[in-house]
Amino acid sequence: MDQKSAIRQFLQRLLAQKGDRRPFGDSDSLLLSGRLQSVDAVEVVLFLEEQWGIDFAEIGFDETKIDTVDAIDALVQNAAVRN
Amino acid sequence: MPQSETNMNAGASPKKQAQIAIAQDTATVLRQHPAVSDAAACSLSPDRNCVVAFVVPGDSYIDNVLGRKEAATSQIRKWRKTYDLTQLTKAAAASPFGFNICGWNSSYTRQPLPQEDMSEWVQTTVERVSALAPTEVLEVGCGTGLLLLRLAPACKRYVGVDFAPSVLKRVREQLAQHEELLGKVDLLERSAENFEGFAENSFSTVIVNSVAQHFPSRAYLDRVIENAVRVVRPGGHVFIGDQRNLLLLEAYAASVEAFQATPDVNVTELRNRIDTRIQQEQQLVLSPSYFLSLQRRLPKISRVEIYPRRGHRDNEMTRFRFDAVLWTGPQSGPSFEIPFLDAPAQGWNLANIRSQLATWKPDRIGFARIPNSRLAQDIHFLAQLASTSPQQVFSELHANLTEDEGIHPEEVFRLATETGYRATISWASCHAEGSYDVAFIRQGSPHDCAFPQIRWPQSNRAGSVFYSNAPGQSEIREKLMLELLTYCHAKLQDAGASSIHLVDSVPRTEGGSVDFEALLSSTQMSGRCY
Repeated sequence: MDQKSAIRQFLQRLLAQKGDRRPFGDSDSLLLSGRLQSVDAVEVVLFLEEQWGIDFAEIGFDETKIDTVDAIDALVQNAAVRN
Repeated sequence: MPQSETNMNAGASPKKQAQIAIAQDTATVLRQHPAVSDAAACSLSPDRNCVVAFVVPGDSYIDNVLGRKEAATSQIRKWRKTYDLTQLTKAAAASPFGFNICGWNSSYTRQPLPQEDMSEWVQTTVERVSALAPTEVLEVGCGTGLLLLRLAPACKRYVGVDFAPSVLKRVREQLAQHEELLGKVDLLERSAENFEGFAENSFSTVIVNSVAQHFPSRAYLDRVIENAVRVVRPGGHVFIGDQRNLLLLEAYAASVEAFQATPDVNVTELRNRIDTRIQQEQQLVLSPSYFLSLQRRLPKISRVEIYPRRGHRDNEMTRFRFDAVLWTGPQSGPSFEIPFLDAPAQGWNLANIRSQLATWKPDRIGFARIPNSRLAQDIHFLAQLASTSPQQVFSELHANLTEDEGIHPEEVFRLATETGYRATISWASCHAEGSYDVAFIRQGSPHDCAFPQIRWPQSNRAGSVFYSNAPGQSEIREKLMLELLTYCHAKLQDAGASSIHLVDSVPRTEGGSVDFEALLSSTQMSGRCY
C-alpha cells in the first residue's frame, strides 16, 4: 500500500471508531473542522511516529500540518527528505 | 415508595415472599464473587422473576483480571502525548512569562479559552490555595507552572511533578528567570501515582489541580489520594481542584450540544447527541460524594469540604466544576450547627436574604438549596428537552429560553461583604441541578474564620450512588455484568437477577437498611420494590 493510501485508511478507521462513516476528500479538513478532536490528533501523531519515525519534538507541532490527507502526506515526505 | 430489606417481609403474600427470598439470595451469591465488593438486590414485581441487582465492583478484579490496568497505561500515554504536543507549538514558545495556557481549549468552541477566563481561573485558584497557608507543597500535575510560579515564592519548598517532558521544559525555562525560586523548587518528571521518595508527613499541602479528569480510572485516583494523604502532615491539606461535577454531566453535555446545534436540529437528534457525548466522555468526571466518602476509608482525613469554583466569568469551569479540600489530623474545634432555611420552599432570594442579615444581624444563618443562576439556562434547556415533542426543532426551544434565574454565587459573596458577613458556599449536600448551600457567619463572631467547620444539611443519598463515570471502560463493564449474570444464574438455578447495575456505593438509610429508593432513582428506574 502506498503512503497516501495508508494515511487515508488510518483516518477512515479513526473516524469510524467515532461512528463517522461520511466520505472525505484528500484536501478535506478533519481536525480544524471538528470531525476529529484533539485527542484524535494524538492518535494521528502516534501513528506518524510509529509508522514513519517522525519526531514532533524536533519539528514542532502544528495542527494544520495534520489536518488533511494531503497535509499529512506532505509532512511525511518532508520528514523523509530531512532524514 | 420502595421498601427496605428489613421491613419488606411484613405482611407479604407468599408470591411476594418468594420474590423477596430470591432477591436476598441473589445479593448473598453476588457478594461471594471475587469481582464484587458490595451488592444489594430487590424485586420489582411480586408476580414474576424481576430481580434487579446493584453491584459495587472490586477494583482489583477489574484492573487485573479484566485488563483495565493495560488500558490505563495506554490512556496515560495518550494524555502525556496530548500535553507534550501543546508545548511543541509556536504559541507555547511565545507565551508570556507565567501565563502559558496552551492546551486550555473550550469544549464549546474548541478554540483556546479567552485569556480573561484563564486569568480569573488562575487567580481564584491561587487565592483559594493561599488561604490554606501552604509552606511545603507537592503539586501533582504542575503543568506549565500557572500555580507553581505564583505560590512558590511564599513557600519554603515546592515540588512540582508532571508526566510530560515538554511541559516541564517550559517550567524550567521560566524558573531560570526567577533565581530566588531555583533553590526551593524541584521539578520531577513522573506519573501522578508515583510518590516514591516522598516521606510520610513531609508536606503541608498537596495540590492536584485540574488533573484528576485525565486519570484513567477512579481506582488510579484512589491511589493518588491515598499517597497524597500519607505525605501530608496532620494539620495539612490535600487540595483537589477544578473537578468536573458528575451530578452536572448531563447539564454540561446539553449545554455544549445546544451551543453547537444548528436551528433545524430536532429534539430527538439533540437528545441522541447529548447521550452520545455522555457515553463517549473521555475524562474522569467525579461526584462530590466521592470525596465525602474518602473520610470513611482514610481515617487521617478529618474533614472534607466541597466548594463550587469562584469567578464572575461565565465558562465551563465556573459552571460545572468544584474544588475539594481534604483536611488531615485533628481540627481546631468541632463542627457547628447552623439553622438552614430552605431557599426554594420558603422563597428566599437575594433581596430578602439581605434584609434578613441587615435587620436581624444573626451570628450565623444558612440557606439551603439555592438555585444556581450560573446553571439556570442549562437546567431549563434540559427540562424543555424532556417535555417537548420529539419533532420540535432547536430554534423553537431556543426562543423559549428564559433569562437567568436563581442567585449567582458571586452575588452571595458580594452581599456578605456588604452586610459584614463571611459567606461559605458548599456543594457537599449533592443537591440536584447545581443548587448550593450557603452559610453566613457575622464577621468577628465566635465562629468567624476563613474555613468555618459547618455541619451542612443532610446529603442527598441518591447523589451518593455514583462516585464517577467510567471513561473508556464500557466493554470491560459489559463483560463484568455478563459474567455476574451467568454466575448468578448458575448458582441459583436460573432464578437469579434479571438485570445487574454497576454502582459505586450501596447507600443505607439511617436505620442501616439498603436505600433502594436512592438506588432506583439514581439508576433512573421507577417502580416499587417488593
